Amino acid sequence: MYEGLTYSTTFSSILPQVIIAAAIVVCAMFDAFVASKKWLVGIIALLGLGAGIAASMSLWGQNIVEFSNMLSTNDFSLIVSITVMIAGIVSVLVSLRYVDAIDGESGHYYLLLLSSVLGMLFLVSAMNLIVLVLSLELMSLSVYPLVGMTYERQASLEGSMKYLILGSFATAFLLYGIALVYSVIGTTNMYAIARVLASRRDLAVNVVMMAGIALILVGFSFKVALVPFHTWTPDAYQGAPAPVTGFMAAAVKAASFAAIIKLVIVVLSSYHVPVSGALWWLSAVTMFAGNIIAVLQKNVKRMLAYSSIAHAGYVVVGLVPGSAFGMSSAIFYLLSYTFTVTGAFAVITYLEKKDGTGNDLSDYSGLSRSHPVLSLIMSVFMLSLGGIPPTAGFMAKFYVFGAAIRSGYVGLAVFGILTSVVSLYYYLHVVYAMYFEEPEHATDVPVAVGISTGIVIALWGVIQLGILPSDIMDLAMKSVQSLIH
Amino acid sequence: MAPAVTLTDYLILSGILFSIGVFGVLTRKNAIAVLMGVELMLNAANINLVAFSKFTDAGVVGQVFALFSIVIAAAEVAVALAIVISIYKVTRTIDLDKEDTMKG
Repeated sequence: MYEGLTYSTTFSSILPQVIIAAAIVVCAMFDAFVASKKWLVGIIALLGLGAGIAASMSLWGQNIVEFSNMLSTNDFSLIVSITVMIAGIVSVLVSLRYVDAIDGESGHYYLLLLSSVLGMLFLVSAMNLIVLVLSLELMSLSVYPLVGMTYERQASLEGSMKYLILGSFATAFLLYGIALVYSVIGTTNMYAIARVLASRRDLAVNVVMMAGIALILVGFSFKVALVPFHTWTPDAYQGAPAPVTGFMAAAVKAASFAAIIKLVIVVLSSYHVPVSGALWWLSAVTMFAGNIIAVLQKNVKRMLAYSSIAHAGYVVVGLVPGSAFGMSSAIFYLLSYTFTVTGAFAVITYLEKKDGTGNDLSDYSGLSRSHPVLSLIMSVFMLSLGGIPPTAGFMAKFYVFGAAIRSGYVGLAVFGILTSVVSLYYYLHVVYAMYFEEPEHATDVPVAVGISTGIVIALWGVIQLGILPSDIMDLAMKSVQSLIH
Repeated sequence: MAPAVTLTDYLILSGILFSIGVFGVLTRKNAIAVLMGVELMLNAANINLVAFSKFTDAGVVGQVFALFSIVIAAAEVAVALAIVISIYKVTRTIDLDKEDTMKG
């Protein structure tokens, strides 16, 4: 079982992780010794994330398995790494003014954000279940305090507490599931597990194995907020500062989904019990419940929380067929959702007040009178979330439902399209409020360079993926191929 | 002489611990008690890992994994207690039923 145990002294294959880790150290030193200018810590975080993206791009096309087969750098891990680092950059840009407004110590905001990104980078390249759990926890444990960052506000702490309790609850399920799988297979390496699963048909009727896989799926369903494991999401998303909510909806979700996609492609495709039935139900229930409850919301952040639950359901639609095209469409969906949702929460950050108010639909009434550009941009993001062409959201839904129909899951695709028609109601409600309702009170938001830059990046992504999706889809296809051995 | 402890005994123990943990998380109102429930669940997984590592030919991977998972549990509690203390400072209670300002 120690086959292929090669210790590598070169760290070139994990260069992005090394860069982010170094950035964390530099940020910590800066935060500790240059106390006066906290925004400089944010600039260092930005530089680190930018260098991380450049390093990931330089590694593109390679397929390296190193560190005792624990980490694998391939196109799949790189495309998701780049996605989460883009989300990180936008979140830091959006946070600059917000963090300055938090009283007292605030430099550790960027530390937590970077260490969460570090967890994600290890999560997407983990090829061993031990590393998978460790990196998942590094990611989650850094996000819990971020949610409670505005610690004089009860809602923020409350969201943080609920997220933490249900997050650790999920980790316990995941860990127990992994222990059961380990008991049957005797190893924690994903490729080795896949080999054993493929060669032993008797495992298909092994109750312990089934329970293990089921518990692992439950654990991850908590992390990406699939119904009925979504109960923490609305409170955590509403309570968190708006930039953090954007980061959670984009990066945390993308990285956790990447782990699921990797498990499905590498491990579960060799399992003789098809999991697509379970995924079918999870995705149908999630799309339905997420969209229906979102219709009832009056708070825009809470509405987008339910919307993000619904979007998790759409991503799972891409996983149900189990085909390479379906997986690629799920990755494309994650990319497009990252750009759209970080942009939407950047606009929300503009309007959110320090005490956490300013997020009601009534606060958006007549916004187009005072802020025509901001309203137009918000409308683009809302249309992308609703799946209207020529935005990224449309192409993402097109690919995902196309993959489902191609593999014969016509019913699920039709159901998904119907729920996304329902979702148009609440997305267009925001647009309607901004353009056709009388303003209830004057909204005056000072221009912030950081937030505006973040919005421009997100807007570029939404338009780019909406008009020229085929290049990115090719990259997604390549990344899926790189996982299949 | 007492009968030897077998793998099944360990599995029953860990199953019971895990169930008690889930029950505690779902029914307790006190934030600390809920965290204790989570700890029970994590440690149930640890018992499983170590027992399988000892009684099967799977090698030491399980024991190494258990060490890592103890670290995870410790880190989790550290973060959790920090949040509980900040909540207590604001609301003067750690009753989770009273932490319910957001609706919908």
